Amino acid sequence: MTDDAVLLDQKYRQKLVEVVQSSLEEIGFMEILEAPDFSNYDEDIERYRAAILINDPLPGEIRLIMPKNLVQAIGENVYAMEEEELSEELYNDILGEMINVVAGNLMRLWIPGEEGFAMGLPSVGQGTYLKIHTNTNAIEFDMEGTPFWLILLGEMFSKPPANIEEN
Amino acid sequence: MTQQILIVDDSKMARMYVHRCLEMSGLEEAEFLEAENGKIALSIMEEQEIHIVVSDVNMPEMDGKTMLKWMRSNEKLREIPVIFITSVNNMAKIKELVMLGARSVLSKPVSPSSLIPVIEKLMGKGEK
Repeated sequence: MTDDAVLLDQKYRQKLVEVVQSSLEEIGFMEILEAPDFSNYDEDIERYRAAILINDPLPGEIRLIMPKNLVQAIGENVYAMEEEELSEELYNDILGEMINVVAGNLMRLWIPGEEGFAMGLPSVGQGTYLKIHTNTNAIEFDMEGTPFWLILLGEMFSKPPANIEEN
Repeated sequence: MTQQILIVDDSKMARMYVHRCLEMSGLEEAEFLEAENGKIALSIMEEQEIHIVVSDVNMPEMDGKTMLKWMRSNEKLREIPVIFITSVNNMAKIKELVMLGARSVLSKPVSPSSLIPVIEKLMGKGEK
């Protein structure tokens, strides 16, 4: 890989990190850090995945993988709810909103102007489906000492947005 | 007269959050009604006197854009102001919704500081 390509990869990744940080900090009122490296992945931790399909202009998918205790902390923090008030439906709602906002903000990196884009409705479930550590399009974050992940899939995200390349 | 505000979003948490933001935007005396999608919202609007609709765009069954089109083609509902709160908020989407008659298009997550000027403008217009 050339020096230019490495620099572009770094800029691209940094931009993705900034978008995820600003989006989720606004929702959760909690500080989000980019993890320096992948942490040890504990298979036994209960996790949720939230996904949203990008349908236009190119196909893609954006996923968030988040441990249950983190979703619970956000619910308690933002909605002033006790643990026993948080049902499965509300966990799904919280994650659905989070992936919606992250996806909308990420798409504005690629489609900043007059051109439209289309994305589907969020889907939320348990389990991760993907081996995060072997996925090159995964970024690990840290919220309150708990790791979570953003994963970008598909043609839509195979190249950095044009405005990053121009910088 | 008590203002009746209809919040439309398929997410219960989002409805709760918007409700709280609206109360903090000077509408603490208002009565709030909720709908999970555009279809349910339209049936509520037919039965009740709604003063402002605050709606998501992407929803199952009937999305916000289709709901707005139905409202504009209905004599009883066409003058109700609609504020959209959406994550799909680029210039193309804003233009499209405004062309259809949306009063304002705000980004998710919404905050009281982004809602206050919109609500104040709508309330001021209502008093004239």
